Amino acid sequence: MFVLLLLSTIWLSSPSSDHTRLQESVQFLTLHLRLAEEEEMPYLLIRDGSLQFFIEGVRLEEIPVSGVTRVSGPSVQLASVDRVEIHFPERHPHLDGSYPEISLESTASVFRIHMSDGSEIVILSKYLKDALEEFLQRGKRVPLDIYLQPQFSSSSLTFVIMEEEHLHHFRHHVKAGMKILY
Amino acid sequence: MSSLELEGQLSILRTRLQALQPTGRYLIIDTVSNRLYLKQGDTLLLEAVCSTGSGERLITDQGEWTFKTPRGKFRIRSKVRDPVWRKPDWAFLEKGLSIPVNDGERFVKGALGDWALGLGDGYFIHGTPYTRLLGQSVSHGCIRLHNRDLGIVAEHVMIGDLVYIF
Repeated sequence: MFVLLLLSTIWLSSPSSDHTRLQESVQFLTLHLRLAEEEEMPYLLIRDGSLQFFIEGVRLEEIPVSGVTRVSGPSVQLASVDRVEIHFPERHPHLDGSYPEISLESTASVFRIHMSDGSEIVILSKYLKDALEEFLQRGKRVPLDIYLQPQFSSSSLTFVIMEEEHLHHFRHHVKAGMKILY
Repeated sequence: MSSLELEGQLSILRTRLQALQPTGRYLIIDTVSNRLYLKQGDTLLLEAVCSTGSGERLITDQGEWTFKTPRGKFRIRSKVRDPVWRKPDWAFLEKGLSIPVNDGERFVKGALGDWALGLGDGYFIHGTPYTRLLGQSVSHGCIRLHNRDLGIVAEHVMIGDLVYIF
């Protein structure tokens, strides 16, 4: 276990991973500059653990998030919002076919952003994440993203966790046609 | 490409993005939370509650209107002190009135507060007598402010200053 940890630490800090991160940063900023110069409407950046709305390179608002997990898909993506959908995870069965015991009265604890390229960004409230994790700790003990992944069909999937209060505000800003770079 | 070259490219990209930042004072209007921000660089000079477009539609025999505040980048195109409102057709039609033949019947004093800052296409930042509705999306597309905040905004912005609406 210690060796594995050591190896992963060495790998994470290796020159090749630094180089990859640099390449990704260049790719991301190149796309951001293109958006800033060409896109007239507000667009959204998901990067470095925050969501930021921009118009023509000027940051309008930053919404704090608790976490961003890219489950699958390329490390840098740019696409338009196709549609936004409110999602009720309690209506979906667990891996074993049973339903979660938790009661989610909130109507907007999860919403899914379906992108024009087929990818998906799933926004979860921190309340829901905590409730699900508590449930998982009592039962299956699988990580949250692995637990949730089968409920989504997209081959490119990203989870964003944020406080409920920000989630409602954020949801109303995301409109069909909006470009998201993440 | 080497790491050094990538670092150099990153630096160029950051500089180009920085060059897009407004140099003077500018306004940001958040149509979801109905807030207006007066800024200079990263410094916030004023945060004010406003009202933006309701999004409602008016469909009549004489035309259709959607009362939305447009999003995007705008500039202050005009600054008028003690503006007189020239009521557009929808202002009559939504109350079930007919459009007046005499143009003089369209003009209303005091309805827009102390200032009207024009953004183009008939959209303005102006005052309102309906201050209790500030913070709600109830306007016909204009941005309504309390006269107190409107005075501060009018004092600080000039014609040509940028307005970002999202």
